[in-house]
Amino acid sequence: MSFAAALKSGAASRRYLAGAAFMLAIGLLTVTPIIYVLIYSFDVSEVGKAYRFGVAGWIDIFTNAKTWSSIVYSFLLSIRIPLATVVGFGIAWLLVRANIPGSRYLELAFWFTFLLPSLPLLLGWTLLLDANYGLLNLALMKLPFVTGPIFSIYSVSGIIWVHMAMTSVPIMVILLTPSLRQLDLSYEEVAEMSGAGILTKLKRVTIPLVFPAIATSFILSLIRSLEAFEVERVLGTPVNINVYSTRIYDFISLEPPQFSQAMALSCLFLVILLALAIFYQRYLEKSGDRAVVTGRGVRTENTQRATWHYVASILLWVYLAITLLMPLVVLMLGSLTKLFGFFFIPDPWTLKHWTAVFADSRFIKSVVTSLTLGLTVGTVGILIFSLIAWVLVRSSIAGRRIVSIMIWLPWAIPGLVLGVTLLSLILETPGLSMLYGTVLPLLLAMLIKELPIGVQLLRTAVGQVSGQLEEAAVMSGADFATIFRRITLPLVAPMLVSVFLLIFAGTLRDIGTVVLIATPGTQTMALLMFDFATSGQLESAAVLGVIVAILCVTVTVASLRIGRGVGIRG
Amino acid sequence: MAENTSMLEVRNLEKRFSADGGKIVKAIDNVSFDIPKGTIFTLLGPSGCGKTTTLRSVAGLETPDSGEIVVSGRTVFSSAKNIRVPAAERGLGMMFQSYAVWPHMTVFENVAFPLTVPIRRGQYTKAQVEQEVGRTLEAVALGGFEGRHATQLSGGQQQRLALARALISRPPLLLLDEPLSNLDAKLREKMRFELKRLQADLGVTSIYVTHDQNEALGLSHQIAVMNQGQIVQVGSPRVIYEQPANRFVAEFVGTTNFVPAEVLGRDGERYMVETAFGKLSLATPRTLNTGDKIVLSIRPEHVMVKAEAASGSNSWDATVKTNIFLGFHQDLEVMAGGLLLEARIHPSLDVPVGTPVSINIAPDRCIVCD
Repeated sequence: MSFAAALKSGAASRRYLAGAAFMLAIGLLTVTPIIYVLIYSFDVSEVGKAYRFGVAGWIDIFTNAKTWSSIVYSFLLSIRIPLATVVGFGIAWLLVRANIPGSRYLELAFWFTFLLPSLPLLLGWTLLLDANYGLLNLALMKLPFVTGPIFSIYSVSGIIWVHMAMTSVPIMVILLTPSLRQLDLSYEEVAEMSGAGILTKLKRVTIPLVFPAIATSFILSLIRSLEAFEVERVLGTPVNINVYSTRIYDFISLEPPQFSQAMALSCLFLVILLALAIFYQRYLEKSGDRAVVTGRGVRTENTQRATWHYVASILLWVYLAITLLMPLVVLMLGSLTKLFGFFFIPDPWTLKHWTAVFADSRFIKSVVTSLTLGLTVGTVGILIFSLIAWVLVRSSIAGRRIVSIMIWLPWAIPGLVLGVTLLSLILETPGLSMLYGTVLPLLLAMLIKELPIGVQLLRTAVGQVSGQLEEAAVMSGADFATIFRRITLPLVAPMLVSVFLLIFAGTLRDIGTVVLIATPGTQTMALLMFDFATSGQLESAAVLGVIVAILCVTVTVASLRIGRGVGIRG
Repeated sequence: MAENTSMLEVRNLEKRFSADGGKIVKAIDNVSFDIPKGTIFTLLGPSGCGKTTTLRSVAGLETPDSGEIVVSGRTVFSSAKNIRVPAAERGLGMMFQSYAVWPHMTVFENVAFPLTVPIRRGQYTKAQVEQEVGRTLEAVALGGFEGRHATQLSGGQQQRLALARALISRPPLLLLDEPLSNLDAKLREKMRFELKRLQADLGVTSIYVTHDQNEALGLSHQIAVMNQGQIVQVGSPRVIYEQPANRFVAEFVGTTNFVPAEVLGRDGERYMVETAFGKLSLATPRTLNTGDKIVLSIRPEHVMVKAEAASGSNSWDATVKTNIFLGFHQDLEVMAGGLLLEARIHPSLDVPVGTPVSINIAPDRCIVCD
C-alpha cells in the first residue's frame, strides 16, 4: 500500500499517529519560538545567568513612554495599508480587467519592485527627498514662490511614502491580480448584460466578489507592515520616530541586552495578531465559502480601447518611473559620487567606492553567503513546503486544521525576535552550539520565516491539481515518492518557480531576521549594506545596493524564463 | 419589410484573431442569419466553430471586425456606420454556461439586479421591482425562494434563477450560451422541456448556442450548423437531420453510415449506383452524371434488417457482427459486401451475432453528400 493510500484510507490509529508526527514536526519549527518568547518575557535575570521569574519586562512596556510612543507610531504608520489597498486594487483592476496597453509589462514591473531589496531604493529616496540635499527639493526650490525644501524624508510621511512606493502598493497589486484574474468573468458579463456600467459593476459585483481576497491581502499586509524594520531604522531613528520593531532592536542591542522587555513587547504584538486572526476567521466564516474562483470565461479579445485606456497606461508608466526608476537611477549615480548626494561640487565623480568595495574581503564573502543562503533556502524550501502543502491538501491525517494555523505562526513574531530566539535555542541546546558561526542558523531562520507564504501558495497550487491525476498514478503502481516527483511537482512547477523566486528574493533582502544571528564570517550582502548605511558609509552602501539590485533583476528574469519554460503564462 | 418580422438580423459578421506565429484565423467568417420573432434559433457546432463568438458579438461582449447586427430594428453594431452599442445598453438577456449566479446576493437580489442598475433608475418603483421579481420567479417555479442565498440552491434551481435574471427586464432577445451543459443527463432532459415550455409561454425570441445535437433538434425552430467560423447549413431540425447539405452536417447531427458509390446511370426518376455491397437505386433531387463518384449518407434507423434472405431491389445479404441491446431499441453492426453498416432496429427482432440477415434501404433515404 502506498503512503498516499495509507494516509487516505488508513486505520484511525494510523491517522492519529501520522497526524501527531506531522504536527510535532511543524510545531518544532513554528511553535517553539513562540513558547520561548512567552517564557523568556518573564525572565528578569541578566544575560547568561539562570532563569529568574519576574514581570519587570511586562511592566516596562506599559510604563515606558518611549515604548508607548513606538507602539503608537507603529499603528500610525500602518495607515499606509488602507491607502495601498485602494491604490493597489485600482491598479490590479486596470491590469486585469481594463486591458490597458502594456499591462503585462506593467505587471512585471510591479513584481520587480516588490522583489527588490528595500535598502537600495531607500538610499535612492534619501538622495531625492532629503531636506538638505535631496535632488527633488533642490529642483523645486528653483521654482518661484518655493523658498524652502518641500519634502523631508525623515518624517512620518516620508516613511509612509517610501513604504507605499516600495512594498505596500506592489504587494497589493501582486496579491490582487491573481484573484481578479481567477474570478469567473461571466459574473461581470451578466452584470454588463443587465445594463450595469463600469461603476455599478465594480461596486455591486466585482468588489463584493473579490472582497475575501481584498480582506486577506489587507490583513497580511497589515501584519507585515507592523514588523517592517529597515526603513524605520534608517528614516525614523534620526528624528526619534521609533516603531515597535526598532524598539525591540534597541532592547536587544543595548549593553547589556534587555531580553525580557524585547520578549514582552513581542508578546504584545502576538496578542494584536491573534486578535486580527480571530477577526479574520470570523469574517471568513460569516462570508461563507464562495466558490467563485474558477478562472473560466477568458475573454478572447477585449472590447475596443477608448482614450482613457491609453491615459491609464501612461499614468501607470509615469507612476513606475517615479517610484522605481527614479530612485534606482539616482542610487546608481550616488554610488559614483565622491561624497554621497553631493552632485554639484566641483568634480563630483569617482569610481573609488566601487574599487574599494570590490577590494573589501567582506564583500566577496557576503556575495558567497548570500547566494549560498538564497539558493539553499529556495531549493530546500520548495521541497519541504510542497510536501507540507501536499499533506495539508491530500491526506486525511488528524489535526490538519491545527497545522494550517500553525504554519502562520512564524509571521506572528517579528524577524528580529525569531532570530534572537533561534540564536538562544542553538546556543543553549547541547550539541547544537557548534552550529553557531556557520550559515546553518541563518538557513533555518530564513526557512521558518518563509514557511507561511511558501506553504500557503503551494497549498493553493496543489489544491488546483485534480486528485484523480495522482490516483491515476497510484493505479499505475507508483509509490508515493514517484507520484510526488513525477506527477505532483511537475504539475505545480509554475508555482514552484514563483515560490523559489519569492524565497530567494526574500533571503537576499532580509535584514531583520538574520541581523542578530549572523557572525562576521556569515554576513550577507544585505547585512553588509545595512552596516555601511548605519555607520555612515553611504557611498559603499549605494555600490552594494546597485550590485544587489542587478543580482535581483538577473535572478528574477532567469526564473521567469525558466518559469515560462515550465508553463508560467505560456 | 424585414424589420417587422425579424427580431435579429446578423449581416456578414467577421472576426479575425492572430493565432500563434502571426497567422490570421477567422473565428467568424462572413456569418449572416435572421431570427423571426418568437422563435428559437440555434447555433450548433463543435467547439471552436465560432458559435460562442457569434453569440457574444450579438451580446456586445465581443467586438467583431466587420458586419452588422440589428436587434428589433435597432442597429447595435455596424462596422460601416461605425456604430457600437455597449453590451450594457443593448437591453438583452443572457444566460451563461456557468449560470454566473452571484454568490454574494440572495435570489431576490440576483433577479432584481437588472431593474436596479443606473440606466433603468426611475423606471421601476420599489414595489414594482418586487412585483416583477415575484412574477418572474413564479414563471421559473422559484416562487418563495426570494430570501434564499444563491449558493443554497441546487444546480437546476441556479439555472432557473439565471434564466429569471435574464428574462426580468423583458428583453427583446434572450441569449443562451450552452445553458444545459452543466447539468446531469436526467435534469438536462427535464430542463429541455421546461425551457421549451417557458419560451413558448413567454414568446421571447431566443438564440441558443450548443454543441449537443439532441438539444438543438429538440428545442429549435431553426438550426444553423457552424463549422470553422462559417454557417454550413440553416434549416428546421427536420431538414438538418433528413437533408444534410454535406458530409460535415450529416456526421455532426446524428449518427450515419457513409457509403462510397459510383453512378451507373439514370433509371427513370431514380439513379442506379454501385456500392460495396451491390447495386442501389437512389432518389435524389440532385443531378448526377454517369461515372460520378459520390458518398451516400444513410441513417442507421433507415437500414431495415430482416431475419431472412435478400429479395427484390435495394435488398442485400448481410451478417450481424455486433449487437447492443438498449431496451427501447437495438444497435447493430452488420457486414454487407465488406462494408460495416450501423443499423438501429426494433428490440423485438432477435438476431444474435453471426446471424445471416438481409438489409433493405429505401431509395429516398439515401442522401447524397459530396
